Amino acid sequence: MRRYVLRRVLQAVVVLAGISVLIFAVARLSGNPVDLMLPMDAPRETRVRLIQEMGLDAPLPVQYVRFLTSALHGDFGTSIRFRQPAFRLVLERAPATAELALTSLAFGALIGVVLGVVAAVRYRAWPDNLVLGATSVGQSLPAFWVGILLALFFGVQLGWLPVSGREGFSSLILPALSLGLLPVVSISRLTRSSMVDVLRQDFVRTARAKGLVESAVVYRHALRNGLLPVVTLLGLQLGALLSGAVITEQVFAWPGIGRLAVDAIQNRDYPIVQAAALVGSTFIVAINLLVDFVYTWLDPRIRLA
Amino acid sequence: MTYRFGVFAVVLLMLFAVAAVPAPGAPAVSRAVVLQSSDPTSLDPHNHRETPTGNVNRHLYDPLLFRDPRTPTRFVPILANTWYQITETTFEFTLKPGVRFANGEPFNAEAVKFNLDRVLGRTNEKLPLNAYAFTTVRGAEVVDDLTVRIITKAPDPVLLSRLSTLYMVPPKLTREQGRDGLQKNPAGTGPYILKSFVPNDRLVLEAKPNYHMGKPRIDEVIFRGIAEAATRNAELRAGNADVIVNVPPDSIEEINSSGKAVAKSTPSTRVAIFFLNTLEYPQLKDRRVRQALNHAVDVDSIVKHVMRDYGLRVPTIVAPYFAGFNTTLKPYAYDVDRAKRLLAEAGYPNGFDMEILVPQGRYLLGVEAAQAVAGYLNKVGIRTRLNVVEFGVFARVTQERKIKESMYAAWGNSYFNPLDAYKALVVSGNDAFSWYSNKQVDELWQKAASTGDLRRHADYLRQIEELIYQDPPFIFLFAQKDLYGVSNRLNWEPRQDEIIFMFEAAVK
Repeated sequence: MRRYVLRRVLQAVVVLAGISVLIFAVARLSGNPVDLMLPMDAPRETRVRLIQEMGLDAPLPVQYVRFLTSALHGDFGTSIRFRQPAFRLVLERAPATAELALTSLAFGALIGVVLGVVAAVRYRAWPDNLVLGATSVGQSLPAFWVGILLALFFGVQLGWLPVSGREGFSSLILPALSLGLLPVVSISRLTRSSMVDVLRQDFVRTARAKGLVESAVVYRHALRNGLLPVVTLLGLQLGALLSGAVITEQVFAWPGIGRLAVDAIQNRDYPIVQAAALVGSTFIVAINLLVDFVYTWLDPRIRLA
Repeated sequence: MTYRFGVFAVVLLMLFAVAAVPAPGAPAVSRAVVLQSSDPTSLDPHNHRETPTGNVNRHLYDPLLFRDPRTPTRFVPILANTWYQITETTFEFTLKPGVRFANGEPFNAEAVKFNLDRVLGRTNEKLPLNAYAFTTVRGAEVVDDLTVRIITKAPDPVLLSRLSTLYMVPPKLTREQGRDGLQKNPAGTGPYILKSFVPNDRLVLEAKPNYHMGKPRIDEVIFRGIAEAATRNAELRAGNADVIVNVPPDSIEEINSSGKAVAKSTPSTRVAIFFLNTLEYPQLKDRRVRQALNHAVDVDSIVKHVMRDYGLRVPTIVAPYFAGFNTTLKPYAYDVDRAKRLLAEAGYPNGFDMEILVPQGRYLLGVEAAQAVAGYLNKVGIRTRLNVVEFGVFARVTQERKIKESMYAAWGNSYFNPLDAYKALVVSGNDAFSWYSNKQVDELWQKAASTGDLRRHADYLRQIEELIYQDPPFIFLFAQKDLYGVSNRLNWEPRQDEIIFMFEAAVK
């Protein structure tokens, strides 16, 4: 077990190193923060001076080594636009993004599992068809569009909920709903197919033969087994939610990492882009690791390959 | 296994519970909420060059003089009571007595001198970002506590415009706090002080009751940065915002019919320009070809149908409300036959290839307008290829001088005077946007830039406009209009210089 964990952790570190090179290069290939900080008619000397001040005139490999050395010391550089430590700016936004992603996930898991179980129990009957139909539609709706519609209906039309920003629980509802749509769809579908399989198995027949009520059969016996693949999916969904949050945060002006990163990309604020990408990818890599570990823990039958 | 699932569920629920935070209550004060497209990047007014940042800073700091909102070519006194020109290169300012910065420091002639020293790089700091706007200035001289002279290297006809953008920072505090100090702890003589700033959320300003121009009518001004136009629009219609910027023309109906807000527009200083690379492409060196292109495009129709009248056609690149606008020039007539004839005369009866570079999402309907121009050019045989890029890429390509035959950009002008625009766009040189060279224009520009006589200055500007009209370096288009959404509870009219200053507004 220890060797397995060690190997997986090492792999994760290699992945992160690769990501850091990629992010570094991609951010620099398409533009330059100085061109975006200064108006178009700024004289050439002003631009050149700023580029030198920021050390952006050094060759890319030199810049990368500088970046890596300080990053290993926990210094991700200073935001070019905000002149504040980039890592701190990203960390300050992390709670907002975590709050949004986890709420969406909890919402998605709850609704998704309920829908999935209902569909599986009434397999091929109208509730099943309804769930399948609704999730197909849900899957094809872009999150930003759903977000705008939700904001227009609940925020503008009815005036029940805030349209944007982050002020208390009420402002969390709409972004979490629109971001939660994706996990509802995937979790309900997976729960459904997994439950359909499980409900056909021998131990379920035995449970029914014992004379247990159907709800006990479904919830106590079948669901517990049927949920196993869903746990894996939950972890993977969290990664997808983090990337989905980029758009949702933009629509609802939610002060999270995604919005910070989009802003930083548009302004070529390299240090923030790098810090955000690394924090994000570290998180996703860590979740994948965790899911694997939790999985082996939840089901002792799964042995380490 | 039941136990393990239980733990898992409890952890999830706990994470969920963390999300629930109570909402703060609202105090009973008059307030205005302004939604811009982004947060301010700096609360040091000398260290940024962006409109959204400038708008926030205007509330915290004052300039010596400020553009009259109704007659933008005129100035009204703010920190200076009076000013007059002593010599061709010297202006003397008499300052308003008894003004203090928010930190208690007195505002006086020494403070003015410090501010000029700062943008001229004579303090111990790095040169601030706005320094290049003051390269014509030699320095400031303190005459007495409330009298200061500002001296330029040569006569500078736009000195007052430049000074209207120089917001005064407190010398002592700025020196003590170092380069990024004002960012965290701003202090100016402006009508508001900073109450709180949560980046990506909101910046709250509180009125200064003893402001030297009178107590602000609005107690609290909130700035929020929301990048999505649809979200700003929704907030306005939900009654949570009082001013929103950059309203897309297709949302006007929606705003006006909401019963909560109206769309307001003003002609802006930003002029859309279709640049032609007259230096590197032989076909575009030929004056007849460039005249032909101007005749080939139905600009009136583009203004009406693409811009939905949120544009004002101009004969060249100078708006009618700029200094030196040449009233004798009439826009090029839309005349396809003439365009074809001119092209044939120049030796291009079958047209030529033309790439058009245009940034996405930067200018009001920029891509749509460029598409429309391309469509008209196709009709006279020019084979166009639209290259739509993100603005960061556009900025890089243009700064590296790598454009092909043409590009579309809208040029801002905070001085209401085409002098700097001419320098950047038509005077020979290797600046990013200068794709034209004409000795006569260069000479006239030198004269215009170095005369202290404003009448002669305007006359030189008119002559330059005449020259570029006859020998067009661009396809001439239109001045944009700025579009705002304004809530019904706010009394506010947009300014032509894009500045949003809530001291000029009142809550009904």
